Amino acid sequence: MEASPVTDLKISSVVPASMTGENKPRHLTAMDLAVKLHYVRAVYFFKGARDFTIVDLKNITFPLLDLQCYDHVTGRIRNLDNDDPSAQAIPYIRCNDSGMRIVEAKVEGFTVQEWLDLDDRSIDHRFLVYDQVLGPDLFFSPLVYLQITQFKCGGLSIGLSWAHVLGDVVSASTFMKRMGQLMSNHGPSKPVYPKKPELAAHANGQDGDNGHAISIKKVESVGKYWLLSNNKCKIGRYNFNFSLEQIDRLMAKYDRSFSEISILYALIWRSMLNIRGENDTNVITICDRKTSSACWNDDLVISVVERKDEMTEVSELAGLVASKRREENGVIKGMIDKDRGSSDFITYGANLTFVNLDKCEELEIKGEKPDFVNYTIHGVGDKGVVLVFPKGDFARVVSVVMSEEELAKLKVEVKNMIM
Amino acid sequence: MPPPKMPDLSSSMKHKYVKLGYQYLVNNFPTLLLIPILAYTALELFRMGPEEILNHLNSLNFSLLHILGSSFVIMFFLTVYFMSKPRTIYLVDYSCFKPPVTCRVPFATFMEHSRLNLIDTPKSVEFQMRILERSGLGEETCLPPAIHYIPPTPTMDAARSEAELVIFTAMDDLFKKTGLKPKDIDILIVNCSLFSPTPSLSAMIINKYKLRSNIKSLNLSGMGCSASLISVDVARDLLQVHPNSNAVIVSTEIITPNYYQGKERAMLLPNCLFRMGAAAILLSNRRSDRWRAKYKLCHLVRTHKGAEDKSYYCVYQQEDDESHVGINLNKDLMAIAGEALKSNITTIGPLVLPASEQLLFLSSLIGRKIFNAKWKPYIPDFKMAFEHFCIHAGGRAVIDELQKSLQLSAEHVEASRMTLHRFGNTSSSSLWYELSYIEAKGKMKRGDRVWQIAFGSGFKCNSAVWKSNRTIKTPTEGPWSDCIDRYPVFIPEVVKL
Repeated sequence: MEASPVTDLKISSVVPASMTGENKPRHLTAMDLAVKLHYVRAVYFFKGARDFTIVDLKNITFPLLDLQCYDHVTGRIRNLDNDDPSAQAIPYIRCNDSGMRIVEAKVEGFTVQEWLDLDDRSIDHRFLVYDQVLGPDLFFSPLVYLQITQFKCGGLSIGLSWAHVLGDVVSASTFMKRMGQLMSNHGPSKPVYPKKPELAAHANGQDGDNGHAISIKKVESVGKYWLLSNNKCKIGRYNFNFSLEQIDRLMAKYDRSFSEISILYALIWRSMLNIRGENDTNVITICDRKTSSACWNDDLVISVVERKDEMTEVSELAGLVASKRREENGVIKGMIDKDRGSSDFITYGANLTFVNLDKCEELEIKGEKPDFVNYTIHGVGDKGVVLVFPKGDFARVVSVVMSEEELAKLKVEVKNMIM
Repeated sequence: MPPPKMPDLSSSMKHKYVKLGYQYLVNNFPTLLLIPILAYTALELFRMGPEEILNHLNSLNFSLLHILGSSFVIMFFLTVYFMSKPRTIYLVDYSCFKPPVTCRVPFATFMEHSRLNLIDTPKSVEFQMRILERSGLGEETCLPPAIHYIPPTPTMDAARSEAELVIFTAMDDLFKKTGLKPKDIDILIVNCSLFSPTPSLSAMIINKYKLRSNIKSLNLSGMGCSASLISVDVARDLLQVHPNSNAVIVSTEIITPNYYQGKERAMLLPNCLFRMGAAAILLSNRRSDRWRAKYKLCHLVRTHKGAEDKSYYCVYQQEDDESHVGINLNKDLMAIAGEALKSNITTIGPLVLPASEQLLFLSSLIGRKIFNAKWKPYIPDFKMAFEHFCIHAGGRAVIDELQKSLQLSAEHVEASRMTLHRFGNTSSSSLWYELSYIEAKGKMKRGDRVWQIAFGSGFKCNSAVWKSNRTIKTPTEGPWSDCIDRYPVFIPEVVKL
């Protein structure tokens, strides 16, 4: 699909229902800065006419944004005045109630089912989510965009674009879940109020702090346009669907002792080994998260897995993934703190990065769950990102973000592997 | 160390006591005159004794005819007096529209939208930013949904929706507060300056609430921010002619179709100040409403300076170079407002000021005419005539100007400033939000007099004087109910965005 099937775009702002007051600053931690160039995108599909309308969704965002834990979601980026004029300014979020953008759109040519039946799942992220970037007018760029698209059948899709500085994919999903709960009028049985992170404490202040993190990569300074410039290659997206039977067969083929996730990671790693060669695939990054009631970037657990030259079999790789992870959170924080804002970093795509989205919260609006959810990350490095999330009850989606060239080769490799 | 300034203090205190004594003397002159006369008469009566009094009365030789004749004459004059007295107009109750949270526009959002809508003219954006910083508006003012879009989508449907939302909400609230039945409304007056569809807004209300077919309805448009008091004036005149009737007045301004979409600086100012609002007021001339009415209308004075060109053109709706329609505000607006106010005061002063102030003003006037034109003109102290002031919240400059010229304290203009902060300039309905603020603060006591002053395009200055019929108990229901505890707030000169 080349031309956009989306019409009737209308953009407006929604704000917290009551005044936050005092323009409080929300400082960005080292982990926030490690992911500042990335954007979380999620598209939720609801087939057929439902109990709620676009207006209902818009109206519920006002009390949603009013929750104290989301003060910074409606803020804007500002720069701290730095004493040293040569050093770059350190950004923070000013909680000034500027608001979140809502985009209302229509797709007249498809019903939701027809849309989902199309092969190419990259269309979800190309057309049903607003292409958000912080900048070039950085101080007046919204941190969250919500696009609500009406389809021919009366169904709709909700496309969330969430700047990763606010939090990771799980925190974005919690935001949506909270919205769904407010729509149903009865509050959650267990309040899902994410706590604000404690900014002063560093979780692991041990040795490693002064080391060099290989999970993040320094990039050219982006100035006031927070997006990685990807001049070298065109990034594409593809969803591999694994049904329950296929997963079962894989586990049987390779090794039942490891988890589904490890086998799937290893499968992709092995395929990339074949494509890129042995030298370029020695390290992978794994993004996971701590189970906690808070859900901000500081709860991300970023680890690396290093491969020795001889290890090339899927089962060996799965073994490494399962047990040989090395957490780099401490080192990352050390490296970024020492840098003091003079350079920019990327995390996703610095190496081949794997993200496990099993902990994402499920959206439920008035008792109805979406028919399909598609997650991705925008603004990633050229080594690629692999997201694994559930589809339905037992199936899985492995969504790959990579250069189109490599993606084409990967499709062939994976097909061979599953045979 | 210079000596402490005690002499000045004592002399100013002496001055104060002299002034108080003078005021007491002049204002109670008739009473003071009557007391010695009564005392003398009483003494005489006591001296004479009962028999002498009866002898005096008998000697007057009243016949039955005399008595009947004199009583008839007395009755005749009394009847003429009562018949020609204008009917008292009571304000039974009123209600103000409280906008829903989904219409809220914080400062930062307004600025961001301005930047995006005026993306080609950063100078205009700068200008708007500076106005907003000094505007005196708070973070909770509201604009209608159509204006929240980038760019705004002011369709006629959207304007009608806004009108329905604000007017019907205010009216439903009024019906609930007063127990008024829609079929009982005799007179309906709607004033909305800049949105005048066909059928009119008054017809829209008649259709929605199924009002009577012989209702006397009126729709005033184009009359500016002072139109609410014009409506009250018209209602008053109609209620003189129709006995035993009531009148509902709806004052509002519909923002949707009037949001200026161009970039002329002189025309950007209203965008920064005007916000959603509406008020519905129930007036009555029925004696039975006397007990439950909140206020009684004492005076209403309208002043129109339109005969002068500069007053006529100072608030002028026109198209800019790109055919965008907006309201051009002249730089001399404050000066013209001051003059219109002076004109209005000249008429209302004699009606409300106590005799002491009028005498002082008169002597100062005579003195300036005869002796020395350079004498400072005496500004009558209106604080003696009124307990509360509701100055139209047209903008910070208007309130500052009036505070200075009427020599009012910060407490007197608090209602106006806080209404501007919480609701913005809601045009003709702002007077009613201010009155609501005073009631919500528990300051309205029985017998208190309120002075409402409104300015509007034309240039007009209208003022109304109400007298409180009963003490209003707090907490009150109304637009201030959820936030009155936060007020008054300190409003800085310049708010940093």
